[in-house]
Amino acid sequence: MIDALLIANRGEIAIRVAKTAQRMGIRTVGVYTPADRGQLHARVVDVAVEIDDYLNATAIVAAAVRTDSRGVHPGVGFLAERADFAQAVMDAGLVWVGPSPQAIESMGSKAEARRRMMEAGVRVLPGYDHPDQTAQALLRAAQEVGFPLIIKPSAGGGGKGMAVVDTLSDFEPALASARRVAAAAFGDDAMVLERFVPHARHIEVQVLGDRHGACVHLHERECSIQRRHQKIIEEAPSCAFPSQAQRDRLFEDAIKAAEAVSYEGAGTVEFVVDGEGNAHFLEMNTRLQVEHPVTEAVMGLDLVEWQIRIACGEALPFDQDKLQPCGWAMEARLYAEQPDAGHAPSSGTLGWWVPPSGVRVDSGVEQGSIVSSSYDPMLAKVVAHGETRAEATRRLRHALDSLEALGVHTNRDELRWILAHPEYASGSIHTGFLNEHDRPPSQAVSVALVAAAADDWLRRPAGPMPGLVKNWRNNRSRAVEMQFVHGSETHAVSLLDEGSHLVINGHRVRMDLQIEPLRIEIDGRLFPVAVHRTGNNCWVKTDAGDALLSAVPRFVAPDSKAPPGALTAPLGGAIVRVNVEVGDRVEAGQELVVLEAMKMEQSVTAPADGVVAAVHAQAGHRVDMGTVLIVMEQ
Amino acid sequence: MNRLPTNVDPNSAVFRDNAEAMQAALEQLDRDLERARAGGGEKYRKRHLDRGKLLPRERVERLLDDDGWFLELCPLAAMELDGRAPGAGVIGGVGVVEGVEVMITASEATLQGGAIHEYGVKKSQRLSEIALQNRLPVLSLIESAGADLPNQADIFVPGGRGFRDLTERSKAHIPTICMVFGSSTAGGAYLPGMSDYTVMVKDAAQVFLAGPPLVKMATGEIADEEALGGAEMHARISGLADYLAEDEMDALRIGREIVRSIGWEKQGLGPEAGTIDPPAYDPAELHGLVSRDPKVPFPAREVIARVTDGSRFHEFKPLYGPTLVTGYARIHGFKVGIIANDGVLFGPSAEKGAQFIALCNQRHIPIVFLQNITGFMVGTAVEQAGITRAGAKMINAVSNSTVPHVTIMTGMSYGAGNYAMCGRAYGPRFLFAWPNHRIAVMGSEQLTGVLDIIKRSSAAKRGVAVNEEELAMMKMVLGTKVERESHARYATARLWDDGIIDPASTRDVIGIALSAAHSAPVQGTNSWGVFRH
Repeated sequence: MIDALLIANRGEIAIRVAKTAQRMGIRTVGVYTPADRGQLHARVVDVAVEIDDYLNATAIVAAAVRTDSRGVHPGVGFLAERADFAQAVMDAGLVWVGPSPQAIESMGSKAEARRRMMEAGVRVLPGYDHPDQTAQALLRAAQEVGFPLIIKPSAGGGGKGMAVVDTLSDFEPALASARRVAAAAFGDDAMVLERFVPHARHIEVQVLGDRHGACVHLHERECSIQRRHQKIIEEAPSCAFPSQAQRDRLFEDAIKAAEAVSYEGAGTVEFVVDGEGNAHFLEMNTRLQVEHPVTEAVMGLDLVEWQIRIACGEALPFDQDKLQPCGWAMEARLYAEQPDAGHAPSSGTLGWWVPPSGVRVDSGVEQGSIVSSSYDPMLAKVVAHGETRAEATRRLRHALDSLEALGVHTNRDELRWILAHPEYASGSIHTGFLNEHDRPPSQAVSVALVAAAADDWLRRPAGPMPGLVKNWRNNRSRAVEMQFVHGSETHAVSLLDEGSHLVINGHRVRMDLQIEPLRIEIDGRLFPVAVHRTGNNCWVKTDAGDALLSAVPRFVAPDSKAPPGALTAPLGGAIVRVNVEVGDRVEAGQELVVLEAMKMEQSVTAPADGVVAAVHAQAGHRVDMGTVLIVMEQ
Repeated sequence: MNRLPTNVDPNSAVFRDNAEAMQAALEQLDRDLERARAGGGEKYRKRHLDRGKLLPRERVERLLDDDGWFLELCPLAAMELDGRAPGAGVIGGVGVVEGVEVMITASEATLQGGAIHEYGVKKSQRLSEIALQNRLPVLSLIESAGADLPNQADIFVPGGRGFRDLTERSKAHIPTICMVFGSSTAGGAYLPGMSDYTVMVKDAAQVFLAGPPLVKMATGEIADEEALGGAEMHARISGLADYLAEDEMDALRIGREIVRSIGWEKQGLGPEAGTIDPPAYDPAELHGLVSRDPKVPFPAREVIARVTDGSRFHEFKPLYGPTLVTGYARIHGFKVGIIANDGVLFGPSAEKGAQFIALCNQRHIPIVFLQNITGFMVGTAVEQAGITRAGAKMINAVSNSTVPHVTIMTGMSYGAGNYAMCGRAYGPRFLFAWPNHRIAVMGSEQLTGVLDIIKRSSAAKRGVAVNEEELAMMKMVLGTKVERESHARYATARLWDDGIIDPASTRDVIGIALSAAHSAPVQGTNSWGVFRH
């Protein structure tokens, strides 16, 4: 057994790995980039080393050697599926906590993986995995595979660059876009085509293989609730299979797949499952999965512990038949993003963070953490375990109800809505769930306005006469007026301070800032609320959901007003392209500037026909949210 | 300091009856104030709004810190005088702007174009006096058609005083910031002309000694309004405007910025630090304490218990001259001496009052007068005991005292009692009245009774019979007239006070008044007129 382990990752997963290693008595070594200095993951380890980039394999191996680490755990993402890194670790005489470089290599290419699985007798979907990547070859193959089909970067992962194409005419533009993204993200624009299964369910099998040829599976997980091809809710087991035979067949395929590459360590074989419970191999992830905690919950195992033990040469002591899941576990991933804006990532400072209690929370953040647009915006995984699926759902929902995350946008409300959805409860879920079900508009705004106004009012320092009610009048002509912007709408709030209570928009309101956790009483109903203020921005958590309100200042100096026709950056990120020059005549809806944050492209389009009067955006530059990019004239 | 006990029973029939009467009076006050707020009425408000302008009260609200106070002064001035609307065409009061207590005056532009009549002049002068006495920076929001020309004779001569006041304040380092939202012509042009800072709203302010019609009359020149007195012209050419505002909100923003930049510091000590207790008893109980019948007295200490912090009161000389209650307390943290009537003034009460006023001056403590007085006691015994001599002492002390005085008319204010208890003529910094307030040289019954006696003795001297019918008619007419003229509404319309207030708000109003008074140094005196011992 090793006595020191370098964890070559950041955030939540680095912390999660460190926890197990420390429990096992292993000294932990972390790494951090200058941007991450002071972040939680660099502080929970026994020692941390500064590096320039989490993708700098040489620097990480050097750090491991320098700190007397005996092994390297890659975590999830970054270098976890890079065979050359695994090799470099081993070449340095260190233990690589992961599968062999050969296994990584085989499974890392979607094309090669498809071919090997077919050889091993694993069911795969009709598709194209040939090295001939010319446009003609791909177009021909697309016609053969048939529509709808899915384009996947062969080297990819995490849904980046994937596109579903419904008709032949959409194929070429989709291919071009996918190639551009893949080239930027993975340095390889080779594509695999596969028949797209509508209403498919995403089900995967956790496997463990040791260095002595043993391989077991730890049953399945279902990860069908996805957005932008990324999982957001996962569970174990799955309710997708009408018969145990289908499930057994799945496990058989999973073991075949793992054995085909002599898999060592923890891995995941992913399948796409149709409405009848028929499974087809999708890919194998040669690393720990983000959603591994649901398996840990039902199997009662620590997967990171077994990764380390296997890497150190231990033989698996398990009897496959005795590995039976207990109860039901469900995980929700809390992301810093805006579900209503195409799930665009949200960056900023997580100024308010209260994780729920009574459930497992794996997170890499704390109150005050910077959520940067440079890294994955996942804030936390919340994992609930129950006897039944319904119980796990209920517990998870309750945990998300009480979770407080303010200062950046999150998908908390979307997760709560999914968990409360009758279709979700009935188990009829598939990867298109979010496309098929529309989330009703948030009802949080009216309560959030009341809470924001009350908080603003009560927090104002007492004036020269602290005993006098604020806004005292002997001949009142009107109530206090405030304005908040929510989305694109401006809401007026009227407030009267009656001393014993406030009257806000006609509601009788009481709130005591001294009592924690904060509660608000509105017309005789008392419930928790959280308010977090940064400048004019007011983030409010209510029992109906979260809302960001932006207080409209009472006075704005004329020279600080944005010029009319100014188009601003919708989020912080890097400018990829500027499509126009001063003097260009543009049409409404025309794409003017493209921004990128976390590999997500976001267009800024012309709101109306007009002429470009000024261009402030410059390709390659980073901009903050709200920066003026273009000024247009009618 | 001890907490005062109370004997008020909110469930008693008397209490409820009193409260009902007060409620009716407060509803009348609400109606009157509503009329004041309505300015020139719906039609003119709409016309004003249609021009894209903010209503004058909206300008005031937006100028003020929204978490600060605004104590409007004399809101019912000129009410029902020659059919005039309450408010006298001027909105004025003490408020907080950028954390600084200031005097705000604003033209009620929807009322006859903000033209000034004689009560407008009187009210403006009162506001100006308050600003000067208490060292309050003045923010004036101007949009006025100028003098009410048909009545120019009533205002021309006294109205000139306002410009002199401006420069007097400036000399005393009390700044005036003038924001011009519209017309400010003829004499009105001197308002921005003599202010320390002027802000003019682009395309709205018009400041000139004579508008195009008068210029044409005088010289034959055909002048363009903007070139003659527009904001841009004054900002760029004449130099009369110090700041050019883009629009009305911008003018208010600039006005606030000027206040901030001045960094005004109050010269008084201010309230004590630490927690400030509200009264132990609900101030709204004053509604049921005040008698429905003005002739029925109510106990002064019950009033004090609903005005002072924690209902605490350190009484001075409680056993001597008991019809005048004197003692120390705190109101919103401000140390005060309180002088309250608890019956008719006798010689000893007046002497005690004079002594207490001297003590407050010795210690630089402001004095609050709670006036409820039917007058000095009359009769041979008290005259022989020198009641006039004693009363003269108290009037001497009140007149020469230099600590701030705040007077609240809680009930009656008759005869020389009004003077000794710091009535309007004695220059209290602020004077407010409750709705039940009655003020006159004497009560109407006394007055008609005196008339009866004089008529009868005159008839007896002449040896003729009294025409009972005619006398009864005379008494009735006089009684009704005096009754009407002694009413709080009649008094406040004539600017005999700074406004009628809800008794429940008395503590807050006094607090605001004291806080304003502490903008100036609070300094007592040892210098008095000759006391007749």
